[in-house]
Amino acid sequence: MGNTAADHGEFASFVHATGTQLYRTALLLTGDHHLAEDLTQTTYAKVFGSWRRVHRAENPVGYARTILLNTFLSHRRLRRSGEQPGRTADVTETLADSADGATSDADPSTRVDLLAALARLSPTDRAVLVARYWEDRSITETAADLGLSETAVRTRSKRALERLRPLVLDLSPEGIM
Amino acid sequence: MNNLSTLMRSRVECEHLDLSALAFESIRRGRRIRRVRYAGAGLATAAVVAGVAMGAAALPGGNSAATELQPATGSTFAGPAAPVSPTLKSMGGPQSAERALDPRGIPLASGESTAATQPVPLVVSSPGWKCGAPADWKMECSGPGGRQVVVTVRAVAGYQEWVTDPDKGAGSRGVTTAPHGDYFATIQGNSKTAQEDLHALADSLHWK
Repeated sequence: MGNTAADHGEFASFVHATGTQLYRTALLLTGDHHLAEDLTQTTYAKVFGSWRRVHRAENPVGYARTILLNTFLSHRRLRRSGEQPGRTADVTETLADSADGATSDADPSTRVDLLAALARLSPTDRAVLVARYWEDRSITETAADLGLSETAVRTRSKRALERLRPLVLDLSPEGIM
Repeated sequence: MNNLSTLMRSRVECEHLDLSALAFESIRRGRRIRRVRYAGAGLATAAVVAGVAMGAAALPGGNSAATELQPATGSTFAGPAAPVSPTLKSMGGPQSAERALDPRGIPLASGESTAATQPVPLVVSSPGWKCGAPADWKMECSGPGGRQVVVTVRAVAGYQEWVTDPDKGAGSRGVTTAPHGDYFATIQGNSKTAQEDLHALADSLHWK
């Protein structure tokens, strides 16, 4: 109605203010630019669907982040059976490329290895690491975001870091809790 | 050696997205989500109304909703429009469902056409807009780009209420025209219709 233009303007401003951060989160979760773009777009479409309620909320960014995580996890659950084998092959290939230095840019030790290594983790483990180390969420907040117990977050985080360590050469021991 | 947080920031710091395109496409997809949601709500409402009507009809001695809405004027009209709209009731018109009313709340004479067939005293003549047949003193009009409005003719007696009550015309949604004789009109649009469109339509109304 009359507020439509204002709604669109406010929403566009919100996307411009938060889009880069959310896209980078999506990239760390999916490990793929196209999937990350699609996940980000789906998240914002859902946010826009409830924009009049969301923009009055105390923390619209937190709302968007929660939608992104839930969309990622539910999408992965739906496609789990059909997608994993291809993903494993892609990761193996990418890691091999990285070892040769064939696809590296400025920092070969992190530019390729990190996304590929993250992709080897289960979606939930990846979401735990992204929430804890990228979003700087506490264990309590991460548990609430992902619907896990705090013990499960600690366990998954520790196990995931241990799996990452041999794959990411630059990952320091203190990266492990 | 770096911790994971540093490595993550280093890995994605150069990653950017076209945020304008992202906003545009998100709005487009978000609108679809809203439409589906509204359609679902509409279907649910219709199902509830239908269920209530069927339940009422099934009660011993109960009449169907359609029967209750039939005007008792002996008119042969059997269309869906109610002779007394909620709008007219709220404007203080007669509450009886026995007689068809015009927007002023005046019962139509026996044999006079009901609201559904009574032509409204105005014409919408805005380029690109097409209006359906008036029903119950309302006209639904469609414009370019999926825009839709409902033009409602109302009795001038309710004008002050409409321009002062924030829940009605004094709110930001919709447009209320100036009085014209015994009538005035309100125009309300769907989510695709901007307030400027409503004002342009209001300016294009020709009163008979």
